[in-house]
Order: sequence, then structure tokens, then C-alpha cells
Amino acid sequence: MTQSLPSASGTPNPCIELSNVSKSYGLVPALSNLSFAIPEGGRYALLGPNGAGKSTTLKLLIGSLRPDSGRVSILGSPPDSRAAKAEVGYLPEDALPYRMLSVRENLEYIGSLRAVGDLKNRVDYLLDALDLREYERSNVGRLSRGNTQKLAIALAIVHSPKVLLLDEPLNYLDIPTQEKVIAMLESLQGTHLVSTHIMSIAGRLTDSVVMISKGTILWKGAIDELKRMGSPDEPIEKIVARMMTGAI
Amino acid sequence: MLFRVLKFVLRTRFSRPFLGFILLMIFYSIVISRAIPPTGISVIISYYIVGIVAFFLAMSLATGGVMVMKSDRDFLFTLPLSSRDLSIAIFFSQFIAYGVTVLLLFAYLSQAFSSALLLVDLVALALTLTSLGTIAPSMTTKGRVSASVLLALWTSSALLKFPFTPGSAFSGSVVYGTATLVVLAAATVTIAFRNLPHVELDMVKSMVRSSSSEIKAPNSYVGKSPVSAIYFMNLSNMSLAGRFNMAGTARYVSKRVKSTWVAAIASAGAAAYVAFILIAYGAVHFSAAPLPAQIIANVILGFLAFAFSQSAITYERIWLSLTSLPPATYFRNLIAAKVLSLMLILAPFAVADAALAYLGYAGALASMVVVAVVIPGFFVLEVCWAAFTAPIQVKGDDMLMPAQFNLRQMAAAVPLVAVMGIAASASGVLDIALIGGLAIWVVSASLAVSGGFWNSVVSRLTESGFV
Repeated sequence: MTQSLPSASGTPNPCIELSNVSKSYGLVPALSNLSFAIPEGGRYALLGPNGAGKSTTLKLLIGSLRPDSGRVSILGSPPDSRAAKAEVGYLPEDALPYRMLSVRENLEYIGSLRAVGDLKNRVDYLLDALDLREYERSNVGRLSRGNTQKLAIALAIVHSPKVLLLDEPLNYLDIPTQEKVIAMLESLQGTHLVSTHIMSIAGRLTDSVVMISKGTILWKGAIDELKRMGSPDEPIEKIVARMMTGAI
Repeated sequence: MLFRVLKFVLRTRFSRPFLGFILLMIFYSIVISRAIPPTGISVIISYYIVGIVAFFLAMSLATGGVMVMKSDRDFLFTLPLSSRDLSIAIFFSQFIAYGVTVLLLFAYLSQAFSSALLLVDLVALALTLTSLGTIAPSMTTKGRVSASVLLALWTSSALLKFPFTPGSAFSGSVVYGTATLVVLAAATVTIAFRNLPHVELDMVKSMVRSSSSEIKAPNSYVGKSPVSAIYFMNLSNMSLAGRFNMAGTARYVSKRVKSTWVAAIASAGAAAYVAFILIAYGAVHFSAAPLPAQIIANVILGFLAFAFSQSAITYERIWLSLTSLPPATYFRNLIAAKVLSLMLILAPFAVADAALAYLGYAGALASMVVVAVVIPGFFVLEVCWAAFTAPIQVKGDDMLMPAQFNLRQMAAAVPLVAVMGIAASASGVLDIALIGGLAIWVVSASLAVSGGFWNSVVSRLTESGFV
């Protein structure tokens, strides 16, 4: 298990770190010298316009893509290492669990792959916490999109990860379930990076922002700081929009 | 307007490589028809053709569907277009998907069947296949299966010299058989055009959703290690899912079945295979007489392995599996587990071949090697090849249509040709079976254990849109 040790200067090592990372799909650049770091325990939103490179960034952080150049690390380890995989929970946008398995089978199977201790109780807890108990034997291919999303969230946190990477986690959820999930995510320890387009969600789930555009960093800081960049009554969305279009 | 609708419908359903492939096949069949000298009709050819016609008709009805996508329902069907134009355009696209392959047979059949009515027969058959595929979604699953069985039996009765069947034109009753086919085509086309304006189902929905909403006997993975969980999942149940090719178009179907059932059905099939050979060839001990039956059995098993190989990766969820275990560890064990589950089907046939070899039937030993060694090796190779060259994820009901595959994705079936060749030629020759099996396993095992290979596969899967 990788520990995040203090650096020589005494400041904690970053939990998530990208250093001069570039990634292209063929001739199309997705990320260009992207660098940012998130400290342990940090709650960050990853913001950016469509095509900014948010999903690519998350895929690099889970190790399913490798950078063309630069360095990516999770708790000091490469993302594709066992050490990093053990500590990361990931929820992609439009997540798809195994559709031939039931809800409980999905949780138990992935819990087994992750060697989760006391798996039965953990699965029971998640089924109850996310109101999935009545669907535990249901074929996932037959679930509604909302219940599929709840299961996907449960799968992302089944192993109580120290680092949680979430891509639009509240998609498809009704408002009561959104509140339940927000409360659950708030109660989790660890470092969170949430990719979203919706500022109100970013404001509920995180306290800081990494804003990227065209594969490079645009701005990084606290949400309160972001709010202060506009006029007192200006909605934060307008401030973000102005930043993304280069008006600030 | 009809032309514009037709062009739009074709462009949104078929990739250029697919249409190019169809044109290439038409050109090839014309060349072949000129190159092969007429052979005349034989009993064997007649049997094969009647069997093929019965199979195509039954499959069209049992697994048919309409090539309509979600985007059609959301956009195309909301446009103020003539329903007649739309129906014709969709029917024509169905014809390319379902019917055109039959026309390609003309080149070969014209060598055996000199009848001037052959073209009429094939056009009528192609129209019938197209229409049945279009009618199928409006029927219940039970109705479809029952009607398919009846259709197959009716067609096969041509072998008993019944003149009024869709297969009779190819078994001696040319006039009555052609008349039956034409009437059948007219009736099914009429029903199809009545159904088309009310099409709502997309091509795969009816099949994908045929699984029940609740798992009746769920598995428990509590207490399983990561590796044993992979084996347990793949060995306790089988996901009967795969990319099937039927009358020129391919489709995905999926169904979860208990492995014990599959093994029991395979054992019954193997017993029937042995019984057939003993009954059909019992009098010719120590000859090569059983060879055709063995070849057919092995080719069918090879196709089955191919279908299984296509589902090994397409239903994978890399955001779950590959964030839990290193890719090489996960895929090595996944493939090993899937080979073992495939062996549940193959093993009874290998045992059957061993029994035949013990009884002294020529070629059975080689056939056993094909079943037990060549086909599992091919399966591993095909999984690796498909994952590397043409990864396609089945995400839900509204998926990519097979006819929209690009050239690289279509190339996923290339190894199938090689293994069919090996399966056919090695079925009677032990040396070819052993050398072919060894060669396939050397290549496939090298790929399956290579960490670098699977790391590159992960990037390809991700870049191909796998979630």
C-alpha cells in the first residue's frame, strides 16, 4: 500500500499529480503539457468546455490510457500499478456495469476482484444506502438508467477508495437520490476529483476547481476565489463561461 | 424524394467498406460463374441447397429484425416524409442485409441448376428472406420460433420429394417449387410492407431484451479470490452472446444460461453425432466415410467458437475490471476461463471422436485433435485478434449496426477463414491437425500471456470508446 510521505520541504506529496502531460488521438491533440496536482483530502472539480480533455485526463488517471509524454501519478505510484489501482475508485460518464449479472452479482464480483474484506456486509450496506435492495436480483440490462447509475456509484466505492474519480456522478438521478448520493460522497474520506459541467454540483461536491481548456490548464483555485472574480450578484456559471471563452 | 430517402437510409445503415465488400462479392461470383465448368445437378448438391434454404428461411424469421436505429425514431420518422418512400427505402436496406447473399449463390448454382427459372427462384427467395426478417419483430418469441421450425420442416420436406415447398425448386420439382417460392415471396412481401410503416423495434432490441428481468439463481462471489471470481463467473454460467452472421448481416444476441445445461445439451448433441455416424456409415468400418460428417461438425464447432470469441471482449466493462486488476492478469485469466467454458461444449464432441476412433473410424482421431486442440486455440487467437484489431463494445440496445463496421472491424473475421481451412483439411489428417493445432497455440498463447500486448489492447479499447 502506497503511503503519501511528506516531501523534503515538509509539504505533503500530492495525491494526484499530472506533470507536463500530453496526449493525442492520432493527429488530434487532447492534452498539451497539462500540469496540476491535488493534495490528499482535496475535493476538486474538473471543469472545462466540451472537448477540453476532461475525460482523457480521468482515463489517464486510471491508467487505461498512457500519456505520450509527461508523468502521471496517484499517491506516488503510476496509475496502472497495483498500488494505485487498489486505492482508486472510478465512475465514468454513462457507466455500464456488467449487463448479464444481477445488481448484487456485479457488486460481489467487483468486490472479489478488488479483494474487499467482509464483502457481504459491504454489499448489503451499499444496497441499502443507495436504495438498490429491491433490485439486487435484477438483471442489470433491465434496470432504469437511474438505478444503473446508482449501481455504478456503488461499484466505484465498493472498496472504500482513497482516491475517487467521478465523471458526472449525478447524471440520471432524481433529486432525492441526488441528495442521498451527495450526502454519501461528502461522508467519504479521501481525495475526490469530480468532472462536471454543472456548477451547482461542483459547488456541492467540491470546494476547489481545476479548469482546463484545449488540453491545458486554465485556472486552479478555490470555488470561493472563483466567485470573487465576478461581480457580487453574478452567477458563478457566468464567471466560468467568461473564463472558458477567454473573457477573463 | 424516394431516391434521396433511399440514399440517406443506405448511407446511415451501411459503411462504405461493407457496400464495397458486397460489390466485390458480386464481381467475384460473376467471375466464378464463368470460370467453373457446369457440373450438373447431383443428389448431394441438392441436399445441401435444400438444407441451406431451410436454414436461411428459419433463421430469417427466428432472428430477424428491422434495421431501424434510435436516431431514426427520434429524427427520421418525425420528418414529413411519405410512409411509402420510407418503407421502400427500409425494405431495400433490409434486402441488402438479408437477401443479397442469396443472389450471390447464383454463380455457383448456375453450374448445377441449368433451369432458366433459377434466377426467379433466387430473387423470390431473397425477397422472402428480406420480408421474413422484416415481419419477425411483430411476432412473439414463441410464435417466431414455432413458425421457424415449421418453415424449416416444410422446406426440408423437399428432400422427401414433396413438390410444393420453398426448397422443391432445388430438388427436382422445378416448376412447382418455383411457383411455391413466388407465391411465398408475394405473400411475405405484402405483409412486410403492411408492417413497415409501424416499425418501432430496432434491429437488436428484441433479441437483447429477451433475457428475463430477474436472475433466478444468482451466484455469490463472497469469499472468492480475484482470480477464482473470474473463473467462477465464467464457468458457472455461460453468456451465450456473440456476433452471428446470417444471410449477409451480423448481429449480437445474448442470453445467460447455466453451464450445466449447456454441457448437457452439448453431450446430447455429441451423442446424436455418434449415433448419426454409426447409423449412416456403420457398414463401412475402417473407411474414410465419416469424414464429411466430421468436417461439418468441426466447422460448426469452429463457428460456435468464433461466436463465443466475439462476446469475450464486447461485453467487457474495463472501467470495472481493469481498474481492479492489471490488464494482463485479468485478460489471461478471463481467456483461460472462457476457453474452459468453451470446452464444456467441445469436450463431449472430442470424447465422441475418441469413441469413434476406438471403434475404428478413419479420421476420428484427427477430428478429435481439431475439436480439443485446434478450435480452443483458435478461440484464444480470435479473442486476442478481435481485441487488438476491432474492439467493439456492446453497450446497450441502441448499438452500432454490424453493417456499419469499418474495414478493420470487418477484418476481425479473417482468422475464421484460416481455422475453417484447418478444421476442414485437418479433420481427416492427424499430422495436419497436430501441426495446425500446435501453430495456432504457439501464436495464441504467446499473445495471451504477453503483458505488453494487453497493455496496448487497453489503450485501443479505451480509444475505441470502451467504458
